[in-house]
Amino acid sequence: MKKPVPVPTPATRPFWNALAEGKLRLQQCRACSTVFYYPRTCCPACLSPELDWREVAGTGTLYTYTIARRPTHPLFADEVPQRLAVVELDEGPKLTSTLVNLRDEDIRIGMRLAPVFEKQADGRTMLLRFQPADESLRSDARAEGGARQAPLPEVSALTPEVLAYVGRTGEAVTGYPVTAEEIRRYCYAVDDLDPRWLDLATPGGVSAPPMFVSIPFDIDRPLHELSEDGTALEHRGVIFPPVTLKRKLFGGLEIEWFRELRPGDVLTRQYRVLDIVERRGASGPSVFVRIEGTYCNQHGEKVAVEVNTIICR
Amino acid sequence: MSEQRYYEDVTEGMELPTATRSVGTTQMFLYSAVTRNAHRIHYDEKYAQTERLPTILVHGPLQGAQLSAFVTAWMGPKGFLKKFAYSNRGMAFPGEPLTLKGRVLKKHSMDGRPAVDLEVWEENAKGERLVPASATVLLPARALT
Repeated sequence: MKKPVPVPTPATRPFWNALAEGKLRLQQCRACSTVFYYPRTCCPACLSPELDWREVAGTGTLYTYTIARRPTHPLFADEVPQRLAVVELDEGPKLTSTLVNLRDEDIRIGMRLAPVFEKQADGRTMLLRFQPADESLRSDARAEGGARQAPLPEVSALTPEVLAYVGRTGEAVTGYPVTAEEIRRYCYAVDDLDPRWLDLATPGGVSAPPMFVSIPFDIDRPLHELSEDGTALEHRGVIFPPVTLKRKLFGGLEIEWFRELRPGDVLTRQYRVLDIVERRGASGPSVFVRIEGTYCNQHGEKVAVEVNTIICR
Repeated sequence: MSEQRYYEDVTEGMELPTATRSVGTTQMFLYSAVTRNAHRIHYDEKYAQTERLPTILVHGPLQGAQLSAFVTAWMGPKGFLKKFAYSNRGMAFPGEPLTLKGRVLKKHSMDGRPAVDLEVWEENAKGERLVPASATVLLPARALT
């Protein structure tokens, strides 16, 4: 068995993504300016859902601590003795973490602490630990080998306005009824002549091929609204963060289906921003935006869920 | 048209029969029309060249749809395509020969139903995987029918 690692949820993903980049981001309420931790979908002070993600230095003071000499689970036996600590960040919120890179006898309540980003065995997950801010108190210079300290002084494309889109949903948009005629036109264009989509004598009637789900929606725009490249700038229900990198590439699609789609069905689609991640490569920064689309039929039954990856460079 | 495939007939590692496709400008026209996609890089060569493309480009989602049809034809009428994922890694141009290939990765049970995981892909004449994809299909079992 492997040691469990945190599983990001839509609400916590920006926090874990920031750690993966060696940064600490906390939520701040747009209405009352409260900075808080742990990640939530509304402000704990005023209940406003208008929240921004803000990068903080990660420095703070030791509020309290204990030394655990027995593991809480056999998988964590290699981590004892563990210096479990509550750290009060300079911005106010307290968080529970572990002190590393110091001797037990040097621990003092109120001591200044600096963040350590510790990569886990899965090679992806980064956990937040703390070490003394005073370098002379650090017990082992070697421990810094795996730890990255100060965030790189680079301008991130993930501005608070962009990150605020994680978890946001677009308007639910209802399409028009699926017809056997449109299924046929689609199948001819794809060159998929399977009789289960085409032969009206099929017992139970024809069904739509799986990839048809995105078709029965009104996406047509008047000619004057199309841009130079022939595409429409906006579609109803589509939600996308205001990333400054202008070039958008289609990175891929994942779909799961739950039931068949047949003539007469009317789908409703709703998009949600799942995740926004920045990666830096040789060719400069890229932002990966993952958008989930959920398709339900006229009975409210889930037909399919897709995840589109769009790469901005 | 396609025969029914049963869970018992599938073995891990078995290959799907290879299929060849070539997407010509006629099919690209039909696909743009049916998806109401007026993006000029798919039909206007001069415009495509202004975007530094050598010529017009086959639609990425059309390649995805062809690969999913490759899977649904293999599984047969009583199969159910449960999951499909693909990404467009390289460009395909009109008329170039494209080959669809695949193999069975794993047999398992999903919510009590017999399921098969597949790796499928589309490659060009140089053997470059333009569209890597994966699929999970639910198949009928002879034992249950």
